[in-house]
Amino acid sequence: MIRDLVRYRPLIRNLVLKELTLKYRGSVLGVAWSLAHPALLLLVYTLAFRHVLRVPVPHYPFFLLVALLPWNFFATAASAATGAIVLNGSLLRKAAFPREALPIASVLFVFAQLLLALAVFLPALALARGPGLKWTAVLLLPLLLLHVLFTTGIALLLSALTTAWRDIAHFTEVGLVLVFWLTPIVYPADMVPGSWRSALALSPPAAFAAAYQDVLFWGRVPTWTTATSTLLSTVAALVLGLVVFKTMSPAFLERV
Amino acid sequence: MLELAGVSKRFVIRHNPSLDLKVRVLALFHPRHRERWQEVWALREVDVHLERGESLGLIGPNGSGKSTLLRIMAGILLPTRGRVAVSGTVAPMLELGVGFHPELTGRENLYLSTSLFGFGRRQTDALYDRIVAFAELRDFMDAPVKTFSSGMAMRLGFAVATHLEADILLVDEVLAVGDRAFQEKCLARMSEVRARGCSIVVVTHDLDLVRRFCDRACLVVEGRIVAEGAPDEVAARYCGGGVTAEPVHAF
Ligand SMILES: Nc1ncnc2c1ncn2[C@@H]1O[C@H](COP(=O)(O)OP(=O)(O)OP(=O)(O)O)[C@@H](O)[C@H]1O
Ligand SMILES: [Mg+2]
Repeated sequence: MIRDLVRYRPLIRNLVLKELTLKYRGSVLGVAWSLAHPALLLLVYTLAFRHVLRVPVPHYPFFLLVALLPWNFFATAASAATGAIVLNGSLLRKAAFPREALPIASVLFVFAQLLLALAVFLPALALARGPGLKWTAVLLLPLLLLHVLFTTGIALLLSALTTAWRDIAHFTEVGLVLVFWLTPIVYPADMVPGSWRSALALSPPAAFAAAYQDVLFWGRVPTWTTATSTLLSTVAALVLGLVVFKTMSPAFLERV
Repeated sequence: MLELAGVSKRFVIRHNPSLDLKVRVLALFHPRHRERWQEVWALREVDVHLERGESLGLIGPNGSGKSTLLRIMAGILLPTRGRVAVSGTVAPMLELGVGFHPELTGRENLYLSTSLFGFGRRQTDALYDRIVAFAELRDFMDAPVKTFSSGMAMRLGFAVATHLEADILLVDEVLAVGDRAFQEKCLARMSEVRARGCSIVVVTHDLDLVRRFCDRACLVVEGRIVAEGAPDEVAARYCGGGVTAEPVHAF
């Protein structure tokens, strides 16, 4: 399968390009929108949290965006994945390419947006009066890699399951909102009551959020628990996603 | 080379395709909500053998299983039973305009189509001019495909499929929307790739096409191949009303 995907690399690239073209075609500012988006969020949050809602975290808007941008990537990719197979019947009917290419491309498309957002946000984080950027920021690279792989595993799983149960799409939408508020993104993990904090350690999204906050905001190396948790959940998501996808893909064409 | 042995395909057709939870829970309690479904054997025990450089025509009434057979040959559908052996690459052209995205330009769609078959950018660059010249669409390649007529979309699809240099070409009733001159051009092109060793399977309701182009024909009725042999005779059998599923007649 890996060899197939390597051979079909141009397909994945073209599918990502297709989504990017469709997204920006016809808009005057094009890619500038994706660049402006995090800058505007930063501005709005700075105003809102300085003057309206005071949170006991220094440089709160930075704290928020450090975990919110990656979360948005995960959440958008997961909900896009529910349509990656069922909305692409016409491609499935055209050729016998490896079906994995579709959810993978949809994840990479959303990931490209995260990279654009980071291209604006990281310089702002380094230059603005705020937490600054420490050497630990280099750990962002392996972290992003793990996060893409984790998200790909989840995307494979969701895209396959949706072909049999259309409810998965709705379930995912609701589930994501729930998980978002259960994950320390908007609030710092130490605001969570002690008894809940151990439960939090089991949540992959919480581990990823903590890792982003560690390397970009607090400027420290993630704890052993956080690191193992992100690594293990990535492996688990990929294995589960691939097994379910492989099992269900022969029947895709009859279900879309 | 292509070999199908004892291939059968079963479809399950759901009459009220309610996959949602409410109906499923209700169905546990009340038979009225239970899903009604029906199974269709679109193909039953089909054997096909195709040599290198041979062209086969599939004819038969609507719903007899021709397109299903082609999809199984293309590896897009898996047979419920039976064995499929394909040596070499397959270039299917199965439904009109399928796989073209209406908002993308002709050029973007061309690159996307070839990559569906594993072609890279460079490989496609090398074929680009020949494909566009064949389709006679040079002035339209930067226009969105939604502005194409169905004949223009077919030209592009056909040009791509016949330039992939595949070992097996599968064509499902797409030629009909081309104008007369382009149909002739398509036939000439298919003869050309056949001469180079490409095997071709054509599904069509145009019996003249089968008579003129194919080396062999199969009449498919209710999922079975009921006649196989010289195109003239198989076509005559079809016209003569031989459209009930009876034992195979070989001519
Ligand atoms: N995806 C599907 N799900 C359920 N049933 C299907 C599906 N595709 C085809 N069938 C059934 O299989 C049978 C054969 O269909 P097929 O499309 O192969 O016919 P055909 O010979 O190509 O007909 P036509 O000449 O109209 O193109 C039909 O009874 C059809 O209802
Ligand atoms: Mg058909």
